Amino acid sequence: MNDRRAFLRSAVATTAVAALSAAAPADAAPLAIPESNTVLGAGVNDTPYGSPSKYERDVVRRTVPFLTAEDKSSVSFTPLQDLDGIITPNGLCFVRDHGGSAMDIDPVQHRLVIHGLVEQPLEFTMHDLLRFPTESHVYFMECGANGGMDYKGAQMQGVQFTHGMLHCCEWTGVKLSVLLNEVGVSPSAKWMLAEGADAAAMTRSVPIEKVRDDAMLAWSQNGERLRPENGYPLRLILPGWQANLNVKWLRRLKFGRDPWETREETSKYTESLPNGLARQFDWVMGTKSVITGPCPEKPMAGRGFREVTGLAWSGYGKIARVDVSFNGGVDWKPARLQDPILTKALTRFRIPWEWNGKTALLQSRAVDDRGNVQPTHAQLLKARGGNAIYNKNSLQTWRVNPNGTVDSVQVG
Amino acid sequence: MFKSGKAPLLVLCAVAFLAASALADAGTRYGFGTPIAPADIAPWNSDVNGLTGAGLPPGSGSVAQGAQIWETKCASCHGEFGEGAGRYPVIAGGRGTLKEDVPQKTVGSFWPYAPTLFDYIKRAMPFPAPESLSDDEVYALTAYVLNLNDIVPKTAVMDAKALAAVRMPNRSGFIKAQPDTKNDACMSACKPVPVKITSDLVNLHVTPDEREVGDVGSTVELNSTGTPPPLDLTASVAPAAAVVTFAQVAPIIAQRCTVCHSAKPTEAGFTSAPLGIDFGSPARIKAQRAQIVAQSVKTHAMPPGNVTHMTDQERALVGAWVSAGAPLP
Repeated sequence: MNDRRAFLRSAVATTAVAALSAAAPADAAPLAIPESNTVLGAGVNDTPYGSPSKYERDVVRRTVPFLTAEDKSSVSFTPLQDLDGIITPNGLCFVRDHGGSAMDIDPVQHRLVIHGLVEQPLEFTMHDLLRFPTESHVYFMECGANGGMDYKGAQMQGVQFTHGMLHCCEWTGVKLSVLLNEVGVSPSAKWMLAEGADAAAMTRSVPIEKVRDDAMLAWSQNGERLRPENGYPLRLILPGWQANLNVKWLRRLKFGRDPWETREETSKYTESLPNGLARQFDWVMGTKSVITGPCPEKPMAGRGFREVTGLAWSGYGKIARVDVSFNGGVDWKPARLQDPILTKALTRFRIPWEWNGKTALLQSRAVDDRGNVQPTHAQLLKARGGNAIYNKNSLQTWRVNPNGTVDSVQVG
Repeated sequence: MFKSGKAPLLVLCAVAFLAASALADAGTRYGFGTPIAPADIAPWNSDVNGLTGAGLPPGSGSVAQGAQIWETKCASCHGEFGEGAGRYPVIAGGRGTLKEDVPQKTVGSFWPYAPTLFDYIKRAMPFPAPESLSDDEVYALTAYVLNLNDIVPKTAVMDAKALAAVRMPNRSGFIKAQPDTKNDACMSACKPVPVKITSDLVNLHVTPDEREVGDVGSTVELNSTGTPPPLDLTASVAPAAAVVTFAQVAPIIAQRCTVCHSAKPTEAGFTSAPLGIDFGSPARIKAQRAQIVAQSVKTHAMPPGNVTHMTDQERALVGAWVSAGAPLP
C-alpha cells in the first residue's frame, strides 16, 4: 500500500496545482493482456447472495462517534458521494435507531395488532399481510436531524455527514387504507399511534389524513425483504414525512382522538426557536437538494470540464426544477433533471461546468411542483435560529479551492 | 365478522375521507387477520397519552422510593442529580434557558406533559433493560424526576390521578409548525458581490475520517490522470514533524481520566468503567481518540465538572497527539 501511495505522490509531479493544470495528454503505455483474461474465474454460485467488489470497500455507511452517547441510540450515514442514480442500495441505507437495531425478528412469530377506535380489533401475521393487494412505490426517507449539526454553522466536512441521513428505496407492501377498511376505523378516530418492537418501543402519533392518503406498510425495499436494521419484517411508510415517524419493526397501530404527545414528538423532533417556543409536528420534509459531486469527498480532478451532479427531493411532491450556482447564489443556471421524476422520491440532476481553476462557491436549489423553493441558509436561520436541530432544508454551499479540494462553508 | 348494517355508513365515510385512489378499496373486506379481544391486547396496550394521562395504570410510587431506584438503575448515565454523564441526556435543571444561545432542554425546562414521562420510562428505560420496571417503580422514578426538577415536593407520591394533574412549566411552549421560509427562484444578480462567507469549517477537524483526524482539508493527492486516490483504509499516515508522543499523553490520561475509565476505577461510586469506556491500554486509548477529542478537547464535557482538574494545556496536548495520528510507541 505504501508503494502505491509513494507512486501516487510522485505522480503528482511537483505540486497539486501543476497536476491540476490542463496538461497535454501523455502517451499511454503499451497494453498488456489483463490477468483476468488468463485464469478461470469463480463459480457462478460461490457467493449465493453476492457482495460488492473488494475495490469498493470504502463505500460504506459511517458514523460520527461524538454525536451520541453510544452506538445503539445513534445514526449511521449513507455515502451519497459514491452513489449514482436515485436508488440507495439496501446495505447503504442510513440507520437511525433509538434502542439499537432490533434483534432479527422471526417473521413467523411477528404480529401486527390494529385496535383502539375500530369496529373489530385484528391481529395480523406476516402471512396474513402478504395476502392483501400490494403496491410498490419509490420514496425517499430522510431523518429529521439530517443536517442538524450544521444549523449554527458549517461543522461537517463531507456530504455523507451533512446530508447522509437520507435514502431512497422502492417499497413494496399494502396501503394502510386497505387495512383501515378491514378493521373498520371509527369516524371519531383522528390520530393513529404506531409502535415498534425494538428496545425503544418507538411510538409516534400520525394524523388520520396522512394514514388515509398514502401511508403503507412495507415488507420489502428494493425488491427484497427489509434489512433487519431498516425494520424487518414490517415498517410503516409515510411518504415524504420525517423518517422517525416511519416506525420500524412495526407491531401495533392504535386509533384514538388525540395525539399521544410521546417523548419523540415533544422533547425530541421539535424545533426550538429563539423566542423559547418550539415548533411541533413538523412532519413534511421540506424541499431540498445537494450537490453530491464535487463535494469534500470527491474533489476536483483538474481544470476544464466537470459534470456537477446531485440529488433533489421534496416531501410535498415532485421536483419541478433544480438550479445551480457557481458563485455562491448570485447567479443561477437550471440543471438537467434525470428521469424518472417521481413524487416524494430523490431526483437526480446534472449540469456541465468548465472550471477555470479559481475559487468557486457551488450551490443547488430545488423547486417542487407546489412552488416551494428551497430556502437559503440565511432565510432558515432568520426563521428558526440556530438551535432548531431538525428539518434543516437550506442550501448547501461547497467551496471549490484552487488546489481542487472542496470545503463545506456557509454564505451570507 | 361485521354487522351488515354498518356497510352504508362506511361507504359514506369513505366518500367523505378517502382519496380517489383509495376509493377502489372501500367496501372490500378480505377477511384476513384474526379478531383479538381487548384482554389479549392488554400486554401491549400500555401506551399513556401525555396530554390526557389516559392509559396510566394502577399503582403508585414516592420520591423517596424513586431516589433509591435512580441510584442503582439511572444515575450511571443520567448523573446522581440528573445532570447527565458524558453525552447521555441531562434530566434536571435548565429552567429559563430556552431563549439562550445554548438552551438546556430537560424534563423540567422543556417537556410539556408529565404523563409522557411515565410512558417513556415504562417502554424504553433503563436504556440497557427496557420493560424491566414495575408500574410502581415507574411511578416512583417519575416522582423522583419531577422532584429533581422542583415540580413536586420531596414528599410527593405519584399515581394515575396525581401524575395527570401535574402541570409542567413548559406546557404552553409548543406551537404547531407552519411553513416558515419563503424563497423566490431568482436567477441572476440575486445578491451583492462579493459573497460573504459566514461559516468556514476548514480548521475545525471534527469530521470522522479514516485518513486520520487532521487530514481533511489538506491537499488532496492527485495521480497522473487527475483522479484522487480512493481512501486507503489500511494505510497508516506517517506522523508529521514534531509529533506529540504517547509518552507525553499517557500521564495526562492516567491522572485525569483513568480514575474512572479503567476496569477497576479508583473513583468512589464506580465499580466498572463508565459506559464501558476503559483506557486500560494504549490501544484502547487510541481507539477512543475521536470521543476523547469530542469530550475533552473540543468541549469540556469530560472530565465531568473537571473533577480531576484537566488543564487547557493538557487538553491541547491530547488534541495534538490525535491530530498527529495518535502514534503509539
